[in-house]
Amino acid sequence: MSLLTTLLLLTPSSPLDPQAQAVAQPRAVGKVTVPMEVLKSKHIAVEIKVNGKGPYRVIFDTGSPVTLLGNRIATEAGLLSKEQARTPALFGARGMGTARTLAIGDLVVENMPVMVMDHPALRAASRALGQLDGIVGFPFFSRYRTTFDYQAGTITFEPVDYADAGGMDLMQMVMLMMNDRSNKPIQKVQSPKTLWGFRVEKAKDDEEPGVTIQEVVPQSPAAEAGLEPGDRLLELDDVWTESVEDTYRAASGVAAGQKVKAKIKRGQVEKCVTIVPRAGL
Amino acid sequence: MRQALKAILGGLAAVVIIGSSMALADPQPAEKADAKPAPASFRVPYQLTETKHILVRARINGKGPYHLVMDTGAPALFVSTESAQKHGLNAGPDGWAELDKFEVEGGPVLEKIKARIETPFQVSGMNAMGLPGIRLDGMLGYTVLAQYRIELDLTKPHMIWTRLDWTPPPPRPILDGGQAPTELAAMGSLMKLLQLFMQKRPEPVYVQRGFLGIQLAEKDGGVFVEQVLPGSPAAKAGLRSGDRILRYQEKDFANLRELHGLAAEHAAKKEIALEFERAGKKETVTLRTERGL
Repeated sequence: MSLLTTLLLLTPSSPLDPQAQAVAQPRAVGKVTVPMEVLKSKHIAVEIKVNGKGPYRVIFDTGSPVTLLGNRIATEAGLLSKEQARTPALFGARGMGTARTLAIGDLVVENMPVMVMDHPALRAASRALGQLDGIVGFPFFSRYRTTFDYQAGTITFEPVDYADAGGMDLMQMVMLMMNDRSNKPIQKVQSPKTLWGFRVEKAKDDEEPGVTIQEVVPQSPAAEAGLEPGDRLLELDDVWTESVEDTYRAASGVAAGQKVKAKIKRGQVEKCVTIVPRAGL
Repeated sequence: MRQALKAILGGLAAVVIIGSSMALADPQPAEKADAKPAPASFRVPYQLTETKHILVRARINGKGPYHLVMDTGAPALFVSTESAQKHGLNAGPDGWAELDKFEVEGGPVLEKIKARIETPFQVSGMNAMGLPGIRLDGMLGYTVLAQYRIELDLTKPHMIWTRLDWTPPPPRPILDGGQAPTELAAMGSLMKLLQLFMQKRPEPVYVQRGFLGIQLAEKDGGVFVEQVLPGSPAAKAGLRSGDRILRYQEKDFANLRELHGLAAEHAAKKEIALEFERAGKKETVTLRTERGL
């Protein structure tokens, strides 16, 4: 696979045309609601501007790890030169670039990583639904608390400070693909920052819902909540605790001092208790 | 190969189109018999895959959990053929299965909804390469998502789903003859072809941090033992409340957050050296971690 890496490293990661002029736009603050067009196919379409050009109609897709622009609009927005756009390429795939600005209504995101490609699904959809020139995905919506309301026909965005908003880039993806050569699984440590005072286990052949609480430490948050050894833990903080792993994942999302609901089954009776974990190890 | 790789990356964008052979009948209007006054709101946990897909867990007819990509680019609920088979979920001759009960982790429940039993090439492609780090069982699309107002904030471990009081109109097929267009079929074949060259990435192995049984607090610019749980490794090592923790495995830390970072690194270790200060004297003890939270 090293040949592959070399080839990819040689690909210009940003085919930006320096001639293109960015249009300065005010950065929206607070909550912004934009209309969404629910297509006949029930995909969501929104209108975007790229480097001030547009509007272009694109699909808004929570299932897309990338933001993707077709060759036509990438050329108009100056992301691709006319010569580059004429070079034959499978699905018109040109690799990754960066849009200086990508805007939906009043929302403007700067330095948006984009993949330039004519996605076959978009071409097929365009024939039936009118021109669709791209896909807005994770690198856009991860920057916001995004609320979808199909009934109202709106998407609402409120800025949040999400650390990994860049999403997936081509190199990251290649690294993922390379890593598998070693065929060694990556070890991930689950390390909740809270002290609960119980131990759960699940036998390999145990297919019943939940995990079994094996031990409850005296004076711990678990003891104070009334948990007992032998209880079956079904849910913790609304997470299904189907495994030890699930239990630690649930605990990882909880801050010290936060009141958390635990659903347990004792004998044949299901009940909910409140646990307040503490800072600790 | 480079071209193919670029194209496959586009294939991760989970846009799925319904062919005309996949038409859905208009849904029956919801029965208003047990009308609930307040709209129900749920905290729906999700996981983010390594490919940056938002994964929601669900049970179908009490079985599962199924790992579904929350996908506004999918017009319906898709369950892969393989996963459906594993759980004994059968499609009718039209390729749709009517589900008695569809439960989403966190509480949302839908009854009598349809699932398309089919494996979109994006799902099979990603699974074959092990890219997401978790096995995908399908996609959670419009027919479910449209029934809720959905708030997604990646800085929080849960989404908020609020039930909407309407019956969303069904998706319409947009492809003639129900055949995938040739380019789309080509993309699927390409993904299949590339799988031959890529070895499947093994799924990550999760290990849990050890249990020490100490409650910690940050004060006066240091990290202090607040309480030692009876019988815990910390108690056995003789730690007491009021001790100030100085070093973890001979490493310095500035605050509680950094200490947790060190603890995460050393989770698999069975013996942990803790340097602490008590009444002006520095001491080091070794703790044997136990299993537990």
